[in-house]
Amino acid sequence: MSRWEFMRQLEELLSDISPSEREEALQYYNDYFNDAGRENEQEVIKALGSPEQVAAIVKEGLSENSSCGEFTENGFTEGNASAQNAIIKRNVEGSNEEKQKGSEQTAQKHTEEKKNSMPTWAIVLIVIGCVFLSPVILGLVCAALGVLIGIVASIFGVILGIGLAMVILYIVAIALVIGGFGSILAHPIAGVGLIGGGCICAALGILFMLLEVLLVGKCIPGIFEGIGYIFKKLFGKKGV
Amino acid sequence: MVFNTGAALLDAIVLAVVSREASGAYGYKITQDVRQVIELSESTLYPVLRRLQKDECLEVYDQECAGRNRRYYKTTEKGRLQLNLYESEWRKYSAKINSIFEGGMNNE
Repeated sequence: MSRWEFMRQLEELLSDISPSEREEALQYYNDYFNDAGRENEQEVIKALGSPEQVAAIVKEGLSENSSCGEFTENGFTEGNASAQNAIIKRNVEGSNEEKQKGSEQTAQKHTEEKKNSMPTWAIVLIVIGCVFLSPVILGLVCAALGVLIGIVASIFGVILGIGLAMVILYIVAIALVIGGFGSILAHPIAGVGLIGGGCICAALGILFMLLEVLLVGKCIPGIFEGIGYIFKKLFGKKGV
Repeated sequence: MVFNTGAALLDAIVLAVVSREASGAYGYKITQDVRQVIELSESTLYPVLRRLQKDECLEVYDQECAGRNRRYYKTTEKGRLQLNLYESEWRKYSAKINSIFEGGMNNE
C-alpha cells in the first residue's frame, strides 16, 4: 500500500465525522508522512497500522470528547478517567487564580482532600451506626426466634401432655378393670363399679388418643409448613 | 514495558515533550520523542494531541517548512500549569513508590 492509498482509505473511513475533524486528522497524518520522509513511507504505514485502525482511533478520541464535555472523560482507559478529571478540574480552579499560585494551590488541595474524604466519613458513620444498632437488630431477631420457638415448644408440650394423660388413663382403666374383676366375687357391686370406672377411663383415653392423632396429624405438618414459609420470606429463594 | 501508561501520565509526557521547545514541536517529532520513553503505537498520539488542543493545553500553528505547511503544537499557559501540576503529582507519587521499594515507609 502506498502513502496515497493509505490516505485515500483513511479519508473514506473518516467520511462520517465532521469535516473539520476530518481535515484535522488528515492533515496530521499527511504531515506525519511528510516528516517521516519518503524513504520511511512503508515503515510508517506499518507502524500506524491499517487505515481502519487509525480511523477507529481517531473516532474513539472524538467520542470521548463529544460525549462528556470539555473536561470530562480525558482517559484512554476508563478506570483512570475519574482520577484524571479531578486533576484537571483542580487545575482549572487553579488557573483562575494563577497569580497567587503558591499558597492558593495548597489551599485548593486541602479543600480537594476534604471533599475526597467526605465519602470516607459517610462510610465510617454507616459502620458506626451498624455497630450501635447491631444489639437492637440482634435483639429483635433473637426475640422473634424466641417467640417462634416458644410457640412450637408449647404446642409440643400440649401434645406431650395429652399423650401422657392418654397413657395414664389407659393404665388406670386397665388397673380398675383388673381390680373390678378381682373383687367382683367378694363385693359384686363394688366390682361392677370398678369395671364401669375402668370403662369410663378407657373411653376418656380413646378420646384423648383421637385428640392426639388429630394434633399430631394436623399441627406438626402445619408448624413445619409455617416455619418453612417464614424462612422462605426471610431469605428469599435460598431457604427451603 | 511492564507498567501501563495511564491517560494522565501520557498527557503529562506529551506536554513535557512539547514544552521542551519554546517554539513547539510537530506531530512526527512528538511521536518519536514520546516513543523513546514509552512503548506506544504510532497512531495513539493523534487523539491525545487533539484532545489536549481542545482542552486548550496545546495550541497549533502552521509554519512553512521546505515548501509546505507543517503543523506545530505549542503549550499554552494552561498547558504549562497542567504540566506543573502533573510534575508535582508525579514527584509525590514516585517518591511514595520509591520509598516503598527502598525499604518501608520510613518518612511517615
